[in-house]
Amino acid sequence: MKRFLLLSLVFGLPILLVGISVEFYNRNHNTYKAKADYVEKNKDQIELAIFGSSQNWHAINPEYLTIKTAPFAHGGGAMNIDYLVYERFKAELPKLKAIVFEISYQSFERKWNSNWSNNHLFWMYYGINNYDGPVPLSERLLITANPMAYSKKFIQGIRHPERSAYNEFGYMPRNGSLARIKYDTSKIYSTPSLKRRHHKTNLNAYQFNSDLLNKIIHDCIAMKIKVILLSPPKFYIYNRHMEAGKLKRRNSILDNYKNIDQVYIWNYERTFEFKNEWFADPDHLNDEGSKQFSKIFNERVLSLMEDSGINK
Amino acid sequence: MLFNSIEFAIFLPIVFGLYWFVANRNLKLQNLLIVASSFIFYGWWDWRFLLLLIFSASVDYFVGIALEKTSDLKKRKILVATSILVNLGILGFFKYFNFFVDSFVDAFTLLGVPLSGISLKIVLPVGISFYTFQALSYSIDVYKKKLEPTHDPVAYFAFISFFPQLVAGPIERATHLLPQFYTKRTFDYAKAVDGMRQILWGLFKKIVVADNCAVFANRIFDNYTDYSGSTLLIGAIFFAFQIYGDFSGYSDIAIGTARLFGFSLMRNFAYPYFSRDIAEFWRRWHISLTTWFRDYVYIPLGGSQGGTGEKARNTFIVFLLSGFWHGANWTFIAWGLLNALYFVPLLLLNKNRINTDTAALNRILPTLKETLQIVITFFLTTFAWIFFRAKNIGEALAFTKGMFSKKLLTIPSEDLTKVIIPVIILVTAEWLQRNRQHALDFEGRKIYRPIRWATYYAIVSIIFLLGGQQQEFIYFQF
Repeated sequence: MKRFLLLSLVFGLPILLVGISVEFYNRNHNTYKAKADYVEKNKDQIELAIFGSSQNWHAINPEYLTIKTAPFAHGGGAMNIDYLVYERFKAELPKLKAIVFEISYQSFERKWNSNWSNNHLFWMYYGINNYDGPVPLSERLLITANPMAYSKKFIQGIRHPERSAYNEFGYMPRNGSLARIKYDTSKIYSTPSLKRRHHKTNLNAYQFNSDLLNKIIHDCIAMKIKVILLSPPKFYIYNRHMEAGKLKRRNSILDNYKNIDQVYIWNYERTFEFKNEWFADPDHLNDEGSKQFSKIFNERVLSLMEDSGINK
Repeated sequence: MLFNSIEFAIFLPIVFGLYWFVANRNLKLQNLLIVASSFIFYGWWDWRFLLLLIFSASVDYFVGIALEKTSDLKKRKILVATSILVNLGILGFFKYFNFFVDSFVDAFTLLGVPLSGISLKIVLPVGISFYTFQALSYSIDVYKKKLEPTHDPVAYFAFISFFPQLVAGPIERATHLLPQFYTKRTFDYAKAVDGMRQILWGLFKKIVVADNCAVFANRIFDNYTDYSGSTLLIGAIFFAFQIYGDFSGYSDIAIGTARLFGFSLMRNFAYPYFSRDIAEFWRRWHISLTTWFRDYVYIPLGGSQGGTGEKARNTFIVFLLSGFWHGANWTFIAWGLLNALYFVPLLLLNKNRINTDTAALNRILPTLKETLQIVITFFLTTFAWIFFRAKNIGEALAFTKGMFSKKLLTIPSEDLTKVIIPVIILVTAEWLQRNRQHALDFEGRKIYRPIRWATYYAIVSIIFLLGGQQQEFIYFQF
């Protein structure tokens, strides 16, 4: 037995050391930390908060915005998570004048529960608990929450630090499948995963999220915060293959807010749709696309902040 | 609690430590520890289902004692029938209630008599098919006087709930596992190390092979109308490796874990994809279930003793039941039927016991004939897996139609390198070790520790770097 334990210990020790290195590296190199740190540092001056999924995250680089922005859009984000972040921070951002919520075609039919793989990040960096009960033991460390993903990130970070580089706002350029296939649209058509994105429907989530959005909007109106409902640019193939019923349901929610004061619907889905070279993949802008869109977005937000009323 | 989870990685050393250092002087205490840790392991999913497990097991325990007290055949039959009815009743309710109601309604609707059925929201308790069959083996063996009933409830509950194999097998026979709880276990270094190796290989099969194959197989099966015939074929092959990696990986971890505690569990997989015919495949795939059906269904039905018709009938019954055991869906029944159709000709021609040894025995490479046999058997089983994986029969047929289209000869439209590498590692390692219990079975071989350890570290690195997204074990749903 002694021999078994001793050899197990000797065998396990290097694995443990690597595990500690992986944890240490990832704790200090991730966009959630960058975002949380930025918000913490600038919370008294932040006037705009951007929520949403990776579509908003990769579409708007706060580097090109001239007002202090809380970058709360995250990869795989969903409205119920956005709501938790909003609730957590709304009292801590005294100068907040506007918030951006994503109203992309898939936004309303996604809801993350206790099993979501990114819950641990929201708990670690924003103090948000999206678990059914207390935070599970395995979710308290990055390496135990998702050993495979963080090991890969660690190796990639060491081998190609430029690929996982991000700025102080936690913005990260996206390099995707369109560049890899040299923007050959015929290849997109033969790859269902590129063509038929977000076709899954979830009517329960839809109902839940539409009620949630309504709640947030009324809360913001009461606090005199403007609400921008934004759908960032998408590639034409993505637009063409949207599931009709799902799109109709999304649009019916938007119809409810068309004439509500303080609520602004900015739908850019088709604005750049034929600009192949500005897309990373069918539903995300690449760095250049993000730069172009961020500038447009900035001008429009500034106008709104000045209360010119032209954007309604 | 999943074997491939952090919770289990913490749970296992704690139970191991308590078992060998705290409870080691008292057999009863060791068994009690196994019962307690098994209940924690199972209750991690949903503690309420523990009550079901305890109830089902208690019935068989008391039936066993009652069987001992009577020699009246009629009473004995009533007792064993009670055990069968209770176990299959529980299984039937939780697993098949909605299926039978829906099928009944569909049948009447087809006949022009529309009925409105009731559908209950029934949650399937994890592993119910496994522990039910294990408990049944106990009462049937006691009835057949192959086994003395136990008067030790702790040993009995340890046998029923033994955590390494509780939720997905191997389905142990009482005659094999229960006596192991009566005897003192001593720590055996060689067995424990071999157990660790088997766990490592099981984790590789599950995390690297199955979880990576799952990503592609799910994508292809979920969007089969959009893919070319060649991609559909690749999807079916990936599913074949997914289910093998998933289920045999689980069995490896279960057997390896049991060895750490001084137990020997039966082998559940013996490199089934190297089989040269379907009969050999079924001697090598899910051995604990196949032999369960052989001993408790096929042989009582008359086995191979009767004429041609009876043999074929018994085989069909066993395969259909085996399909139905997997789940309440016509797809599983179709899968069982297909396998019966593959198997029956061999049985009737008396060719079902031709390949009883290992392929390419004493050689590194198989002969051309063996290669062809292995490839054909693999594709036959892969074809049957399409029915197993599809959501319904219509989807399975459409998938098959798409696969055999002109586009079968085109280049697949997915980048598959990430999955092909683990599959190649799996097939190569298992081929080289096909005469041994598992791919990392080095017992009796002199391999320098640095080489062995380098191999283990390489596998650990592959698990961490090439591992797929964590997926639940497929067989948990059965």
